[in-house]
Amino acid sequence: MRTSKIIIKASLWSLTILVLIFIFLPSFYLLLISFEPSELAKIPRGFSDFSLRWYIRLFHQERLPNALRQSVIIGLLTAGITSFLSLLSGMSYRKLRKKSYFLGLLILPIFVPGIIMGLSLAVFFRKLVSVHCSMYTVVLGHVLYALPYAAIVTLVSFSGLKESFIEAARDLGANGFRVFKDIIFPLTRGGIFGAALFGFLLSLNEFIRAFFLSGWQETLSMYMFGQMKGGADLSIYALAGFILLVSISLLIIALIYYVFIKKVI
Amino acid sequence: MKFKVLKSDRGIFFFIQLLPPALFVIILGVLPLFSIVIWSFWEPTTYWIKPHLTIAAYYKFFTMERYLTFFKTLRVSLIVTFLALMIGYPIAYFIRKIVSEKYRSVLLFTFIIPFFLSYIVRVFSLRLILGRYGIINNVLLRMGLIFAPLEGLLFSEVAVHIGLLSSYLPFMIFPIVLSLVRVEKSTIEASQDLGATFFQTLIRVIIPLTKPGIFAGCIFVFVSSLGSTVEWDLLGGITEFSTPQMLESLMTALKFPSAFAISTLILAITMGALLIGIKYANIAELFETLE
Repeated sequence: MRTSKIIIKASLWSLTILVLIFIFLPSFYLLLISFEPSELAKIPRGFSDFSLRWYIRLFHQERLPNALRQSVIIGLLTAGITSFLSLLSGMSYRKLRKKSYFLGLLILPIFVPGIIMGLSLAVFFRKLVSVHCSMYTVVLGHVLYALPYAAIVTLVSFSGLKESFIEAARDLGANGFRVFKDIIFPLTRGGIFGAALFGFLLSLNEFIRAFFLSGWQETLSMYMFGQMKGGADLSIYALAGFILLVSISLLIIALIYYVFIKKVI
Repeated sequence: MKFKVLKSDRGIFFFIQLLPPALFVIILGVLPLFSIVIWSFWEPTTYWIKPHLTIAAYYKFFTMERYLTFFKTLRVSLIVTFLALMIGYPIAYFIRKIVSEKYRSVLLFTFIIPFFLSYIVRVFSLRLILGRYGIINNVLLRMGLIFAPLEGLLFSEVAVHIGLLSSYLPFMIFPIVLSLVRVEKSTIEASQDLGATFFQTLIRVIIPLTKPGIFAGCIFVFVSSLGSTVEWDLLGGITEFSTPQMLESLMTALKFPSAFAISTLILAITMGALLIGIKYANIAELFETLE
């Protein structure tokens, strides 16, 4: 009995670790290759061989700065709108009686394949409301994509908000704005920042919706995808590595914030 | 009917808070889908469509062998969903029921990370593993198991399966972890006290109780695989052609009704799966912790 339990535990540990290797090793390997100075796609021989050659080469790519700027603006707008809508969802969710309908509506976009959402929105904007595709249509598409995840994160943080806190504040004479500023926002801040982070990172890395919804100006993901299909030089690894590093740094900042400041975990 | 949800202490403010997110999803998330379903039955003109009912687009779908591509994509998505369940379930069980509290949050966080990394980069990096000079071929050559690099690893349907699995496996794990929260330790112990072996407990007690998570995870993985282009584009090679790629080319060729008809079929399948999940597996239960 005991040995069988140990065997089960050991095999589950190994399965989990193997899967984590399967998920993370390729990206990590790519990151290492991006620092290789020569023309060969291999890992640098020693630590002294690490070079930023391909990263520097990125500065010479003409279309890249515009794509990067486009993605950052779209990401920030998406983060702002997504966290605002999540906040509103959290605020109204408390008072709703038929909660499951509202929640179902909010998370519905998860169940629509990305390509269908992108395609239907593009046609909707162009033919039904006669709006030309631009940065702003991409933002709307990305908010729709990120909102389900962001709303869930926000609702989790709102579940820690007791109705009695608000009543107490009201009894002490606080008006609606004061209640929000001193009670609701401080208690749900973690979820709202989480929603913004979801919005930014999901938008930055999103491809298929942007492909259908952007006008003439491509996003970073679209630019990168084009380079990958075209078989460019090793600077594609540097570009991919750069995006990985941006995402990882933001995650580390978030981790520090949640673990050491909010003490969530 | 709106007035029924109105409680006495909810003023106009409540609606100001409720309406923006609700209207946002209804107008941008639901309305466009309804439009393309309706438009799939309209007649094509040179640049757009005109309101004239026809099922020509669906007829073409079956006569022009588009259904072959469609069924291939369906098959691949189903296989990936099945593999993800087989791999994801034990991992979810391990995370929720076996590992200690300390490792649990670390593991959960580790499985969240892929959500935040570019899936294009993650799929692209698989080329370095599967390619002619990739890690797998290198290792096999060094071990002397093969004498020439295997060619069929990359740019094949196998590579597409691997890519989809690596992209969407975390989508399977989280719903199952959520549903396992509801399986009490005492329930498992009771089953074992009554003489059930571990596998009997698993099949007759744990799996039925986690049905909502299993269903939700399967729908997530299936829907995501079905609508994914990147894996096919970057790992599938030139000969592999998928439904999403077919949609892209139909849209560029301005064959709107055909593209809408295929989208409608995909939507029908995913929404059907969702309805079955809600009705028979009670997936709404998963989110009850939020209420």
